Amino acid sequence: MDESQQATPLTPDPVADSAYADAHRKLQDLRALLDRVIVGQGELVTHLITAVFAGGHVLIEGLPGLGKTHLAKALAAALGLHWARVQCTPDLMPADVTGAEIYATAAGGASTFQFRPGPVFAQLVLVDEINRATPRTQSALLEAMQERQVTHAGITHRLPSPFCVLATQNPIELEGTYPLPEAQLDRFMFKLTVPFPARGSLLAMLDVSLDAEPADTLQPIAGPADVLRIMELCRTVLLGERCKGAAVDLIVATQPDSSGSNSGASRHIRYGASPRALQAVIRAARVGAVMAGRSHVDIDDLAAVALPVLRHRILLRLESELEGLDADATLASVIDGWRRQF
Amino acid sequence: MANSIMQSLQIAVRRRLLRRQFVAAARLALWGSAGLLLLAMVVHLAARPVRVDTVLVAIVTLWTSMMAWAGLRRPSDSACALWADRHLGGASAFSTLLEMREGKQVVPNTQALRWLEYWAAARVPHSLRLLGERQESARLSRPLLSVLVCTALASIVLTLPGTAPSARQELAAPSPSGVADRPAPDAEPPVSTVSALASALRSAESRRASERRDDSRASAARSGKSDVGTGSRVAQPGPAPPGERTTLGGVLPGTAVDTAPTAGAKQTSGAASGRDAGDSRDDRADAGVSRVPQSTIQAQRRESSERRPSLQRQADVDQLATFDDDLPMHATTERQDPDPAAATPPPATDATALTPTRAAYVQAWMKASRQRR
Repeated sequence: MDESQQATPLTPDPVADSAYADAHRKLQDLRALLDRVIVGQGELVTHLITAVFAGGHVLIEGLPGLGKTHLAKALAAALGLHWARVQCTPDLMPADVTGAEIYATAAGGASTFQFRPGPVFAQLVLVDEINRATPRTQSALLEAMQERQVTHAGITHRLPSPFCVLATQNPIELEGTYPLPEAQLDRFMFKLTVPFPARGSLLAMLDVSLDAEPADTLQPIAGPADVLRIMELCRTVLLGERCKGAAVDLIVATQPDSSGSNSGASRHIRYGASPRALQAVIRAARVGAVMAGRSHVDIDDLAAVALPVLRHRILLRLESELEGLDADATLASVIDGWRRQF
Repeated sequence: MANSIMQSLQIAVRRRLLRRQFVAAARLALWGSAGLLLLAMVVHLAARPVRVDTVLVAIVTLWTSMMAWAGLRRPSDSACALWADRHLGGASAFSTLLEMREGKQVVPNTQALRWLEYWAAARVPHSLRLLGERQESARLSRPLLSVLVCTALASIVLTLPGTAPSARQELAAPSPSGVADRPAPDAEPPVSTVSALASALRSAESRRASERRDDSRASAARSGKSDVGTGSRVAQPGPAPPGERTTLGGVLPGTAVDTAPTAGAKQTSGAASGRDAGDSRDDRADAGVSRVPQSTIQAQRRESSERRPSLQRQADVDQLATFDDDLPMHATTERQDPDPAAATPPPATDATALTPTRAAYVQAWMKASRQRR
């Protein structure tokens, strides 16, 4: 997204006070706030905001100490959301995540089983090191993410709205972990990687968070209602035929056996992106359009979210992995070739 | 208001796209013109003469069709909007707005459409400024240069007389009635033809004289030298122009035209001059084509074949008596015998060049023959 598109005129106008302008302002403010707290991770912050307002879940991958938990706490504080944290271990049980029925005695002496909600019932759930949980626990969590409800003892409990799961995983120390299967990875809208900050960012970080935790003192600039309103607004963003076709072409370009795929993808990709990825691309691009102050999607919005949407949804061939290729490099060439068509 | 602003952008973009189309058509037409000129030159040189006006008509037709093609392809509204989106920072706003207005999509939210109109209208001045700043090179220099070069070449080539093989064949082919064998009354023979004709006539006269002189053996050598001179006059170095042979035949009615290949003519001339001269080989006859009328050569051959038996018989007898095949032995014998016998000279062919040893042998044979007489 270039600078000229960012500089959208938002001068007083008969329609300037519309919901789009308001949402645009809110999102800009939120990004600026998080940029001040999470220093040097501008792209990560933007993608995180995009995923939250698109109603998706995020898998964050990064080394320990890069501020993943800090980011989740800051986001929850800035949006005024109720948040919870689950530290995954191999002995974590599904009931520890979704909740359990306990035998409770009321004041009158009557004893009944009562459902005690687990941490998944928070609006923003930080699931730390999700790959350390057993597949059974992972499955329970991911079912809740998908259905946005928990069924226990025959009773369905709706999860709160907005609901967003930020799961983290460590790319190293994979011993004793349970990597997420592809079907469960597909439930995450974005997979974000946390890069190591630049030197300037590290220096700025010392000024911001050496003696205090800025997320603890962060004042919310919006509430859950605002989040829901903006989420609803993003669904009304216009999508032209050209952008629809471009989004479809992007997904097709990742397919190894499709005629529309380019040679790089067909050579290295074993499994391409799913139709769910197409929906995720468009939903995320709509949020990106609102963040840019537009009520219509552009190709650049699609391109901006293509990599985080697709990087965990493709599988490379074994030969390509042995050659040292990773999903990001392969997708970069795919996206570059796709972008040149438009 | 927004509509008028959008219209202004659309008009400007359409004008720009039309101009691009015309420039592209002109570029294609320039390349096509250069190709046509090249083609005309090739055809003119290789196949048949090409008239300049034909080439001009083809070029004008090409330009007309290309300009018509460019003019008829009027950019549509969607194409203009798409181009503005791509190149003028429209961010898909113009094409999306056009789709919504044309009713291609069900507008989910009128507020979104109004915001889109507002956004696009606010974007138009920026897009118009970008359009004004956008300089696109016409890329006409190379095709223009090619056309200029081809035009210059074509102006030279197409004004040349037809040099195509077909044209030459038409000139060279004898007509069935034999009219073409005679020079046209209004056509003036070229200077080279006249000189070749004179040479041929002179060589014929001198050969007749040399035949008369050949009756006596004492004058054979002189006659041979004269023949050498004659041969040098007759044989012209280098290939003869194709048109001269016909003219020669036409000017000499009654004599057979020498239609033998060049090698055959060369061999005949070399044999005649070498036999008769006896002491030198006519190198010039090898290099050129003899234009001696065939009748003269045939008469010379007849006369030579009549002479050959007596000479051969005498030489064989002398060879048996005096010479051995071995040349050093022959030299010893010559020293011992002051009156060496004659021997058969080596056959004078073009393929055998006279080495100094053989030349000495021939001279010795001639000297002995003279002394014996």
